Amino acid sequence: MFCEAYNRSLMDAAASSELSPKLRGHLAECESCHSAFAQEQSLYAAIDTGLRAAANAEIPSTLLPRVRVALNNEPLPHANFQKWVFVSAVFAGAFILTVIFELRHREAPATTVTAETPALPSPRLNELHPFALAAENSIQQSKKAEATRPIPTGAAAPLTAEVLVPNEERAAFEKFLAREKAPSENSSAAVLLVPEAPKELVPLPAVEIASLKVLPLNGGEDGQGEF
Amino acid sequence: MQEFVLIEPGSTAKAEWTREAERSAIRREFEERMADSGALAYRVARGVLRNDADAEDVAQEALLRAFRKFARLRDRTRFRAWLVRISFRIALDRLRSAKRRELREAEWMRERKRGQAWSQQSSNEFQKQLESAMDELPEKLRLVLLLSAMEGHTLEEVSTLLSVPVGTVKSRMFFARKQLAEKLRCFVKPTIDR
Repeated sequence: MFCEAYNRSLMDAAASSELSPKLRGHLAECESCHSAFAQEQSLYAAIDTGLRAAANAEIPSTLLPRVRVALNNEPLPHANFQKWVFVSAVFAGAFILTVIFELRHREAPATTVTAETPALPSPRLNELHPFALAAENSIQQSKKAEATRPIPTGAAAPLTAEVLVPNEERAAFEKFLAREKAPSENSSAAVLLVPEAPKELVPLPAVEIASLKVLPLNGGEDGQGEF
Repeated sequence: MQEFVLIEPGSTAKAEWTREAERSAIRREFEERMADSGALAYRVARGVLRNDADAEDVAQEALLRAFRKFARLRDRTRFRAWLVRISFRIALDRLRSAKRRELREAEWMRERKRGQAWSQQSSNEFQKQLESAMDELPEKLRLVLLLSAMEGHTLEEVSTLLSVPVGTVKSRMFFARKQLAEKLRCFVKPTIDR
């Protein structure tokens, strides 16, 4: 039996096989602790021996030949890079298809008029709005060519938005563009200030009713009452 | 007579040959490592299952699994640690399913056997008690204890095999041994006193 003061530390020392000088000194002095410690050590020695016996069993001679035979029936493992090559090829194919698809969509038929109605017109529209400029250029070109309808040319489409304008609306459209281009202060006045409502109450004259005649509903000659 | 060789469409004979050579190299390398670490896989399995035939089956399964994924193992020097973990996992799964089956089929018989075992006091019986005490240890503690007792592994080697710090191995060893001692103390004392 260990002394009360050294019980825990000596038990731990036996489990970890590490004795501090203080404990060593106590064991040298105390006979009871010395024999108890020896018992603990023999317990751990028995455990270690049992563990070694259990853990180091002889490997059966049939194991490795059995595994080799089984390996022959296994499909041979593929190297990693083959998988990556396949994945890369799939991604490259997908990318090429996407690029081709995009290019086809960009090759739209060319139009004669390009314009967009500005949401908020400004006095410097010709400087700021690329759509209006593109539309004017297109109109001038079409005038020169005396073309009345858009002719698909197969050339690359412009980056600006395009609006097809019928012949009969062309004059109105040109007028609209000319008006938009002309520097005027009125053109920017799209938002009007609404005056605030007066906060004071407006006095109203009292309602006057000259005379009121009350009759029952069935009181009339034609069966209809009056209020 | 002319000989025709069938090859995969889209690939040349040279590419096929290269691939085949590569596979053979992988197979050769695996066999070398298997000869070195096969015993470890078996011993880990046996430490968990305590049955030679089951341990052999588990070791074989572990080696086959390792072979299937061998090409994906980047650091080949980690093969032993990897194999230990595979073997331990498979052995634990098998042990659990065997225990479930045992519980289902013959609970009463197991109890009777246990009672008999406790009544006997021989070194053989101590081994049995030790092994059943090992079964009750948490997995992490059990594996550390097994590996440290196996093939004279040092603490550093066990820490490398389990990819944990040496301090962790040390503390796990300490707690595992203490737990075993608590369970086996009453069993060993009379022998020592004599």
